Amino acid sequence: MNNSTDLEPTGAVVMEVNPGPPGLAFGLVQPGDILAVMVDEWKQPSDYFVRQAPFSAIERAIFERSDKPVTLRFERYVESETESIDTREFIESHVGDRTSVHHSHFT
Amino acid sequence: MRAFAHPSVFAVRSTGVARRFPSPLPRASRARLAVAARASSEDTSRPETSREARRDVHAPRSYTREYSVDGDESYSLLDTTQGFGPPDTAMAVGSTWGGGDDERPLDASSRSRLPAAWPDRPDVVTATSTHTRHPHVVSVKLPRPVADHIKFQPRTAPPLSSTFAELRVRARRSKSEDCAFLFPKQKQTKRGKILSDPLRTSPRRTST
Repeated sequence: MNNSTDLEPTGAVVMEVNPGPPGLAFGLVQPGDILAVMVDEWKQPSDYFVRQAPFSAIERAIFERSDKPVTLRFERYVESETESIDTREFIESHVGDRTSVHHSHFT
Repeated sequence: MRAFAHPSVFAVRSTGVARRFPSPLPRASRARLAVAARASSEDTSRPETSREARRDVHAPRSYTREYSVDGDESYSLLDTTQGFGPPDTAMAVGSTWGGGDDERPLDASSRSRLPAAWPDRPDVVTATSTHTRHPHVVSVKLPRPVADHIKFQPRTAPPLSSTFAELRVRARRSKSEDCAFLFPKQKQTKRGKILSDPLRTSPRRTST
């Protein structure tokens, strides 16, 4: 199976996070985080799993301009699990705002 | 022993195994069981099928069957044009991802006018810029375009053939002899046109 997708790179990794305006992800997303899913309820289908998707298609969705927000899920692989665990912040963020966990299992 | 008093629940089919190992029940109970099995609407209405066909119906999903038996018949397992299994990307037919306005221009003039054009709805931005954090999964809700916040690069490298082609182009453009051993010299006209290049793939160049 030699698709056209075989000849181009796939997946997306965070290369740089914009620290200044209009960047809002600085401090939350780190370079090296792997983009796994993009969630948009106004899209069909609402979940776009980008691990195996061609980068050109991911780029199209990234540069897309719309007034609808999009939820990005990243995978972060750390060497030591205890370093990145902050239980207090984790619980507060889930209790305080339900819109941020609309698609997660915590609702 | 009470369970054997309800033959409709424990319906016994007349199979070879049952015949080889007769039931230890008393004769009266066996008669009731036989009547119940014969009166079962399932056995009477279903046409007689071979043992192989029945096994195939209940077989697990495999590559030998064209369609899955798990209920999802929307994709074929043997259609090589679609690839094996369900479509794992959302860029299949009917997807609306990437279908909106493309905010691609990244030249200097576009960058300069970007803050003025963004954001369209500041209230939406403040309402959706919250985040959740997890040791291994980071979830962020961002306004579009996402490229304003995060720059991405491909996760996987381009295949080796592309790298080879890039080296070839670089060797052709530069005067250095680093890659000369990989690519033999080509005859060129005075205007710089390449006369014979069997590996050339661009149709524009072949027409010249």
